[in-house]
Amino acid sequence: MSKKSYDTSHERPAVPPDVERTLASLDPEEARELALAWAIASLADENAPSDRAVEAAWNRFAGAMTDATAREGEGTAHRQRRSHDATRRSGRKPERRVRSVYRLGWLAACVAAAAIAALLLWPRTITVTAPSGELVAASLPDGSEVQLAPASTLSYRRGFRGEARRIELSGEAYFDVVSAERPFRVVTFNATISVLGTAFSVRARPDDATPATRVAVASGNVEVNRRGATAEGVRLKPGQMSEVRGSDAATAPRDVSMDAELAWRSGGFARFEQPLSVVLADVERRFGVRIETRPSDLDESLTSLISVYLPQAEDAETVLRDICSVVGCRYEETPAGFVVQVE
Amino acid sequence: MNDITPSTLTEWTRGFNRSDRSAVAELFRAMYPRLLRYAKRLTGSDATAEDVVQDAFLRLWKMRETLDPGRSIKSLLYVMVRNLALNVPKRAHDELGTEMEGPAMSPLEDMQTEMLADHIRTWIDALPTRRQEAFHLSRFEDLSYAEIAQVMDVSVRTVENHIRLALQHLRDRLREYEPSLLER
Repeated sequence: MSKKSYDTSHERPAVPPDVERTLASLDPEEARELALAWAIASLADENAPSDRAVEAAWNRFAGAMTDATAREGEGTAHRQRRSHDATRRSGRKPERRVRSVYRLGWLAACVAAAAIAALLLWPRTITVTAPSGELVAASLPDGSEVQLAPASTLSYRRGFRGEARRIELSGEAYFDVVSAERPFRVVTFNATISVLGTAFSVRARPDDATPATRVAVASGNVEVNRRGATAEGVRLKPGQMSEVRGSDAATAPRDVSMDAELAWRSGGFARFEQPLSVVLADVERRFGVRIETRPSDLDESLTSLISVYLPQAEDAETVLRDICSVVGCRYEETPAGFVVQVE
Repeated sequence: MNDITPSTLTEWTRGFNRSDRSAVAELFRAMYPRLLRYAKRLTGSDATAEDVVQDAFLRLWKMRETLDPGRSIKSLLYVMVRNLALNVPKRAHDELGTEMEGPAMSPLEDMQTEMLADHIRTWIDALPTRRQEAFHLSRFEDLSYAEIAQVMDVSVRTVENHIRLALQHLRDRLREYEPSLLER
């Protein structure tokens, strides 16, 4: 190697600022060696846990966090007495206070925080609504994700308090559920869907012509049951669907195309074997438009059921064009929305 | 590893204040791997380390409304992991390295590197316990001297001494092992 003299600080591996200050106070040759030792020591770095292991740990923690939040309402009186201690501790000078929190006091601080949280987290219902023409995505308290179709509403108790993670749904939604020990339950006007951790869609529109709750599963296992039923429900595997019509038991599992079931999530539009009025009501919700059907006293028992599947549906007109080519109707755009004239 | 800036930490702390689970998830995912390694060092057991880190996060969650965004949530987590780990009865180094699902070890392209890595681990383990810990936090957890001082409840000066002495120790061992490693 070259013998020329040089400023050693530029000839050694970089170290963090703090360590640099330590090295700067030493003889340059020793600083160079220690910087090398620092760099070489990186070999001893342990493998980080895999993403999967981190996710598993997060799921475990998310469950514990939910349980802890649910328990915050209990034993308040006991905790308040203890929190008095913590308040007394905090009467010291600010610096001291922080040190004490960092040492022993933080345990007392936890307890005090739990008591405060118990008061603030009094059971409350959270409601999420997607208006007509809009998709809404929401995160639930356990980390599960939900996507709401236009004109849909869901509600749950703040922090998912209670023995199950319970969601009430009116409308249509896709759930991606974080697995945890507490069951995840979607309750509609006539059905209950129970899962542990999975992804599935639910359609429950009581104002449909034949009101039903339709459940389709993307991954995992789901149990569908009539609301209030005590017997076991129908178990669905990925790619299967079941319906609860009125107060009947859930229908037997049937294979479905998940692409079509979930078309609404990615800008598509799909309805299968439905009366015209149901499909048109969906178009109204989806695009936030008004559609008038003529004749107004159309007897639907005379028209056949229709199926529409558009992987991409930019606007109401695209869907109406498709429907009318099947049904044999004419549509016209008006200032108020559309008029569909059935021949 | 260095991507956690103080402002990110402050944001996460505010997220905790609001009981915002997505902030909690981000903090968890960012800090879990490092805290797990630290806990493993302190407890000598994978399973215990996992429990300790879970417990630390849970305690943090329970005190979420009183967390001060002006204080480092990172140091606080290390302090909690440390306190919890040191209160677990230390079992013999059971099941060490069994449950860690690390990425599969790269094929030993360089056997010598692997051997050297093993030596370095042995040399670090030969340091006095407190020095080992300070060095580990500095070298592998990217904690600043001030943060280490807070976690270990010692002065910054002491931390600096630990780091210098640890590096000198490693340098001496490296020189014995393979002098060419330290040559220009």
